[in-house]
Amino acid sequence: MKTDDLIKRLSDELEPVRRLDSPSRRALKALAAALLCVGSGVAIAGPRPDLTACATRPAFLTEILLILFAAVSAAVSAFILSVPGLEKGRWTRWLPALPVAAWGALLLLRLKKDFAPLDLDTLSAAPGLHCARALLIFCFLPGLVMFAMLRRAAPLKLGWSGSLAALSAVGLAAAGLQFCCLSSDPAHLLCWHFTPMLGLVAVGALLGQWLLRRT
Amino acid sequence: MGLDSNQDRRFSELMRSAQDGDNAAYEILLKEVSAILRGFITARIGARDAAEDVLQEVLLSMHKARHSYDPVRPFAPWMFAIGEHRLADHWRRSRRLAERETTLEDDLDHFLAPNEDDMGLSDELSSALSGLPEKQRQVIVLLKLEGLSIKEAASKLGISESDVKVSAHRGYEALRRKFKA
Repeated sequence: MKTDDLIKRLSDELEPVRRLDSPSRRALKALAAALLCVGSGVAIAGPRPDLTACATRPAFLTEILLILFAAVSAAVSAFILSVPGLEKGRWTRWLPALPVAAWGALLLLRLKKDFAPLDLDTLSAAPGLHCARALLIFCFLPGLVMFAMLRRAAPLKLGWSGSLAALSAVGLAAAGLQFCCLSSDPAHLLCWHFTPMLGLVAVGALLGQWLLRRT
Repeated sequence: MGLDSNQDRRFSELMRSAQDGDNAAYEILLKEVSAILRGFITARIGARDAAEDVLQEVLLSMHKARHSYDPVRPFAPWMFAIGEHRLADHWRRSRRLAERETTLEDDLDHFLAPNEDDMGLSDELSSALSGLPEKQRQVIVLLKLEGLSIKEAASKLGISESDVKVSAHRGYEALRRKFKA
């Protein structure tokens, strides 16, 4: 087909379209929906009994803030990437990795500080699996919402968009999980909160290639 | 890589009208950006036919992504980001195609190489070739039996060079499947 014929065909077939909202507005909508889902999950699972005491511990608060920062920045980055030409530099993609790395480093530091030989029985105990399962359940709906909103846009870097969407959903889920998980043990958090989160981000990258619309 | 501010504003206005369903504005926009994109793509690819194919892919992508353009933002970054992305796709595809073609051509050269017992085409190969669609058969005969270059084959058949490459590639694949069966 000649280019002129293609142009004629495209302009003949043209239909009005609804413009996308700005990335920050879409991120706000997605985060609000995700907060509602995760909040409901936490309410159903029930908050941990020592939540008031935990809320006064700097480590607990720092971790929550880092995870929330990762989730929010990942949502904004994912929506920025969903508009061609809007990304100003690679930092847009990498910024959410910083709080994630900081959380991982914080957990490792706490693990080193309170060093005790790793007890594999404790690590593989049922509450750990329960946490990983809760993380998956908490992030499922927010993830769906994120992917549905990204599909409506025009992301060019599908893997990146998918992983950022997943990080946003899983990050909020991980933050919610901190409120209901009974353990503050860094080994438990590293093994059953942090590592599954990274795994789900990798899954998000694959799903992005598969589920997001190729522009 | 960029547009002057007047041109950018004009494209932005045309796209805003296109988003609202103005066919005439859209046709003008696509025609004008085609001229710019053609230069942008040809400068990077070189081959005119391949550049035209990529240009069409860029136009299709712009069409699919037109709802994502925000008229308060400059038009050039949006358009060139799509152009760059399609070019990257083109390079990836060409690399993959070149790798596969090398293997396929080696296989085909092996089939076509004359040996002491048989100086002509084997019955098996003749029958496989005759089973191919006309264009693929002609392309393979011209490239492999008559030894023409892609350019020469394209001009003899009156088709583009990229069309010759695609037909040859599909023909090689069909032959390979036939001989592996």
